[in-house]
Amino acid sequence: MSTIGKPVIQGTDVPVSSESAADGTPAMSMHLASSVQRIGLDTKPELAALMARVALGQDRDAFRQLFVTIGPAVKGMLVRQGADRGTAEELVQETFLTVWRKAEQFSAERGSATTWIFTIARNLRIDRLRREVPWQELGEDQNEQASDDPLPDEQLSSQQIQTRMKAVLATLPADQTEVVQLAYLEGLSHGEIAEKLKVPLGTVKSRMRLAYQKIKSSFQDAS
Amino acid sequence: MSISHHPDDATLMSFAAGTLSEPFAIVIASHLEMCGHCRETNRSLAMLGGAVLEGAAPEELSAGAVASLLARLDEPVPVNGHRIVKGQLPDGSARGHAFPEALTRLLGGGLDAIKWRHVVPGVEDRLIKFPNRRGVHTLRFLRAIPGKELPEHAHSGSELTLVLHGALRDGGHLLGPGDVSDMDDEGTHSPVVEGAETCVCVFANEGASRFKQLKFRVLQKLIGI
Repeated sequence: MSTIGKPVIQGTDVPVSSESAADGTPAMSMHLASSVQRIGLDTKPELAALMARVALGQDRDAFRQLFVTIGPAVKGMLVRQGADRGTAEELVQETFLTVWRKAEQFSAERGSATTWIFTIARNLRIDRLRREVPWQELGEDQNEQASDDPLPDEQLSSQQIQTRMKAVLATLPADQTEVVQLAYLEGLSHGEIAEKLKVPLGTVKSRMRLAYQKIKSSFQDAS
Repeated sequence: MSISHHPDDATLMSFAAGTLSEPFAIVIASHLEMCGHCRETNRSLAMLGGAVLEGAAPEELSAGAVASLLARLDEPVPVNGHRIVKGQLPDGSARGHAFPEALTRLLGGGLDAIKWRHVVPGVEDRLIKFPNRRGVHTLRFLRAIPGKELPEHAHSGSELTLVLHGALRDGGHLLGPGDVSDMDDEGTHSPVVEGAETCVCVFANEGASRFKQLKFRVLQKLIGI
């Protein structure tokens, strides 16, 4: 997609419709089937309750359960992003220490526990990477604080939104799920994803846009 | 007037996933401070991250992980030593935005903390380089007087522009404070400062931009812009 000489403008930048067709290879579909199944079978409603007990009552037992329940997934994500097991273990510990220390900042009305934990783990990973380069002056608190903005639909609890988000994720076409997973789980940039999948950069971006459009419209339909 | 030019959703997704290089992440973080529409998008995209995380293949924690974590809960919390200075745009921006904190953290102050460098009459800049595993990405602040055409340049990778003050016409688009232009690679353009106010903007770049006109190319060679 050429955007020479003109900025990409949201709203007028209509995605190519042919991109929405699933064209995953059989191997990809199997990989997806397993991840979809994991998402489908995922019954972690207790996460919200555990997080609430940590946030409101500094409940150590709830914190331990939270760690045991979601910690392995955080470590799995960090390993897929290229951290060796020692570093991944260390970052998981730091992530949950941050969860404990900032628990009072967590607000169930503004986001789910896993979203918050994902954001903290992401920021710690970025911070770790930046220690290797001369510029690393970004504040530690960036983007960790719960936003004050209203939720897209105040009628839905954050847990309901998260459940719906997982449902939408499970119904995305294979090629869109693939770019989402490569970005969020493997931590790859647009260019790295394009290289890995051997598709043009514009195709990666267009699949991401389509995935987001699906998410957005599913929440709009629901409200 | 509200913000009318937003980053590509794909760029916002990469920001939420944490895969943008630092200069691009700084520009997006700055735009998010100024744009409620994109904050909402970012919130949805962060939730997508939470949903993806719940489906991530788990990796077994080490045997002593629980005990060692619980033992650390009473450790004193390290003090955040960052100096936060609330900067302000000169003579108040058109839409009353405060100077973004993401930029304040980087500069250690507001616009007055920038050490400008003369480029050509009426145009000053400040370049900050961010080496990373993909090469050197840059953040360039640019300040130019009304009517000034910024040097036409071609860039080898993506470019993200955020207007902080004044107005910039880029191609057919008029960008005001908070507006973003999100360009794919291989673009060539020469934005012009519009209106009566000095324009201040910041560009995140993948790879060095290359000016097309000879006089700028000579300058680029001499002073390394």
